Amino acid sequence: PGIFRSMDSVIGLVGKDYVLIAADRNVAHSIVVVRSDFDKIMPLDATKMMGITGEPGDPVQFGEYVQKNLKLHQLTYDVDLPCQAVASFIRTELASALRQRPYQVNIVFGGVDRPHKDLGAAAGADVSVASAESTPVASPVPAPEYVSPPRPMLYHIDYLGSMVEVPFTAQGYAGHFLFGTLDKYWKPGMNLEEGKAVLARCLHELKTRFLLQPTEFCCKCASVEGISTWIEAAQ
Amino acid sequence: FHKIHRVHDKLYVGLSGLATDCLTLASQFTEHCNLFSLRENRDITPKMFSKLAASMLYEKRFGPYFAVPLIAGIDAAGTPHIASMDCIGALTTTDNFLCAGTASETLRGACEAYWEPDMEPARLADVALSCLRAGMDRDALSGWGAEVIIITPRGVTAKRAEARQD
Repeated sequence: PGIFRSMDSVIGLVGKDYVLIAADRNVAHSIVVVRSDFDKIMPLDATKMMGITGEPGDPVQFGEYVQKNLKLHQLTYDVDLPCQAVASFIRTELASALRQRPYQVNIVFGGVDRPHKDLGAAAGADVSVASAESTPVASPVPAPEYVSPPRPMLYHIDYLGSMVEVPFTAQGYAGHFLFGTLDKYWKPGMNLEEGKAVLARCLHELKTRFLLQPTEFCCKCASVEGISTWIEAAQ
Repeated sequence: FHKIHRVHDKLYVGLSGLATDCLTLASQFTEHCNLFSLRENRDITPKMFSKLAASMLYEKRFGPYFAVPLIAGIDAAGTPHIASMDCIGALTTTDNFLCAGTASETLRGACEAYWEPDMEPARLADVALSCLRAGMDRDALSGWGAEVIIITPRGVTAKRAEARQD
């Protein structure tokens, strides 16, 4: 299959304990902008999200497939999957579909792992309620204790199923412009303000140099608290 | 990006070619070899593993994996083995050196010049890194560094080298 060059830009970068993903909000069909408030970053669970773009139809189709399968896994096994497992799942689905009915989607998947002793994170909320109501007897399921600091992870998965863990990435034409910018300005362990500053530089670069530059980006930040969303206009 | 995958402590396989097929094959190799050791209560030997890999690739003869594995390991008796094949499983074993990848022709020349039989592990690592650098510098599609894994009966060490970042 030929490479479908979609006009979508997705940028991802890893910070100290968060992952930032920004995607443009346009949906285009040839030279027409059909919609300019579309969210291309799908949340997969409370702390994981993926920016998914490609041939029209496939991102939504594949994205929902991944989302619902993960939810099913969580309901069946009552465990929060680590980011590496989710990324492997996505990659394996793309790779096994490659030779039958390939999905033309490119994915930037990011999330924060919360390594803790008891992997019953899904039951964590229920446990705290139960122990508040109960008498001072040790509750049967201990609340999850976090044994290490949150670990943000970012993966770039292309339509063939090639996956690589990266500190920052850009998808689509944006990559041609932004890998240089990110190489220069990204550093490990940035806090949220610094991360947003690097993102602002990237958006400025696109606005200045990219012919088909999108005006607005939908930005999402995944951290242990959850996923926060805001709209950023390129300066 | 790591291209050398561990099968077990004495057997490693390097995969070059299409990244997605390399990752798929790496996990399939690990799966088969883990099942083998659970069934037979011993680690798979390099010779057996090369035949396994060759037949796995030939199974996809008319829709192949675009990946070339290069297998290196030490069997239970302590004899080192290397083997390689093309993307549909035509197996080659030698007792000197093998090359795979986009720079394979260049590497072959460099290996021919530097390789000698019965080298010590440290010397072998240096020779391997020099050959890799020589091959990579002349190949547009290879680069950004080299990694060497040295497998000895006593253990495994890894060495990295910088190369031209272009």
